[in-house]
Amino acid sequence: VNDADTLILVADDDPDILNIVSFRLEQAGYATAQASDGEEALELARDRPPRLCVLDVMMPKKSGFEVVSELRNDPSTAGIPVLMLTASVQDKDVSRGFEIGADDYLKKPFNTGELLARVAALLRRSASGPT
Amino acid sequence: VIRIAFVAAVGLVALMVALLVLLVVRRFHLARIERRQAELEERAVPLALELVSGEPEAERIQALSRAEAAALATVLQRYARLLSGEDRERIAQYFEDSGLVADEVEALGARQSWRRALAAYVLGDIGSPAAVPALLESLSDRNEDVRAAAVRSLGKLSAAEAVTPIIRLIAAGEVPTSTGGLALLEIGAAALPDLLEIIEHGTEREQVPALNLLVALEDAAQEPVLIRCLFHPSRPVRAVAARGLGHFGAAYAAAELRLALDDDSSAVRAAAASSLGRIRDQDSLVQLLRQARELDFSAARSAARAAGLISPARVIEEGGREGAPPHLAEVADYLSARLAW
Repeated sequence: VNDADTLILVADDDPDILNIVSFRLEQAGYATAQASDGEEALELARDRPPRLCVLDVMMPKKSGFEVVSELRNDPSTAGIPVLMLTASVQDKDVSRGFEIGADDYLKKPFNTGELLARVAALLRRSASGPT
Repeated sequence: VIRIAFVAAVGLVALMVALLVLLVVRRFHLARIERRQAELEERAVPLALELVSGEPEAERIQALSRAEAAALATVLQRYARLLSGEDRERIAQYFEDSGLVADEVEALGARQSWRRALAAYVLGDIGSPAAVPALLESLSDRNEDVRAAAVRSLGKLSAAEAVTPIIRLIAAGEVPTSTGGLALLEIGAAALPDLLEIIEHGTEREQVPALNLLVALEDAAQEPVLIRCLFHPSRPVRAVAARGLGHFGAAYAAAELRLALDDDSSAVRAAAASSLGRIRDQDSLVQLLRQARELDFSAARSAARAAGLISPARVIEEGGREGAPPHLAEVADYLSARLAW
């Protein structure tokens, strides 16, 4: 399998989250690229567009919201599904993520089984095209 | 004398140099320990990840040295704060099997209070329900740090049986309201039965934090409880209920909130005014404009602001008149400036 077919970009400033999410995704057969801040995430996504992004909301340099917004404004990355990881329990933050263009979200602390299920569902939906 | 002074000076310099050398050596030693610890934790990461995903090799865990096992425990404690569900249960199971839960429960009885507090804190991160009974006992520890750590951990463990004791500690001022409130929020909906019981039968000091938490849980099904509490004999309880109804946006409680504008407590009048503003209750406008003229600062200010939310044009008109009450004039100025901008 070509990496590009299964590549998932994981961006979080917490190295533990990066390790956990990447390990579980790789275990499930995906290839991963890791970024520890918003700018690095954008660079990686533009250099090598992934099949899906898992983004933290609160990141240095650029927040997850800013990253989603810029991804959506760039035709080469506009269609990449985005799953947001958020520590916030505020509904307005969740709504804001959806308004900006995120496709799904998961609140921290999270269950990696649920994360994998959501990733699979997003990829399935994106493969079947817009509804 | 000069000679004695010289010898003393030389002695002092030597002592200072020796102290400096000691500090430098100690710093190097600590840095080496920290480096070694970081290396051990780095090496423990793959095993920790396998353990979280449920695929660890038992032989590898058994072969760990004492220092390696401690590093693995540190990494897993960090992971336990980030994960929930089965992942967290696997971590808790590892800690139970490795005897760490039993060790920390035993440490809750240690002589030094810092050790008891550390044990209470760690038991929350470990996430083993087996620690709940011991943590409940620690709520009556004589040291406030231990009590606070036990409260935090019982919240992390979602221990519904801790709700009433935690409310009592908050009411008695034995744990900070923020620590207790956060723990109760983590317990979440499971806390509801005990909260409702306290709101019904507790003392006033217990009822106020319980009602505050009921509001924070944002369960709309509990709005009738808040409406009932608007007519509670306790003023602080009535004030929390009035504020809570606005937080919920309970428009159907507007009639009761309008009655609360005539409450003898200014805190209740302020909270009711604020809530009526949030739900944009047109029928309360005249009452709010009247309340904006009263002498109590917070009641008058809340009423003026609420009126501004309900009818900006009317407040600009009333507040712009000669001799308008100060709060109404202030809101009118603000609204005019915003419109102009």
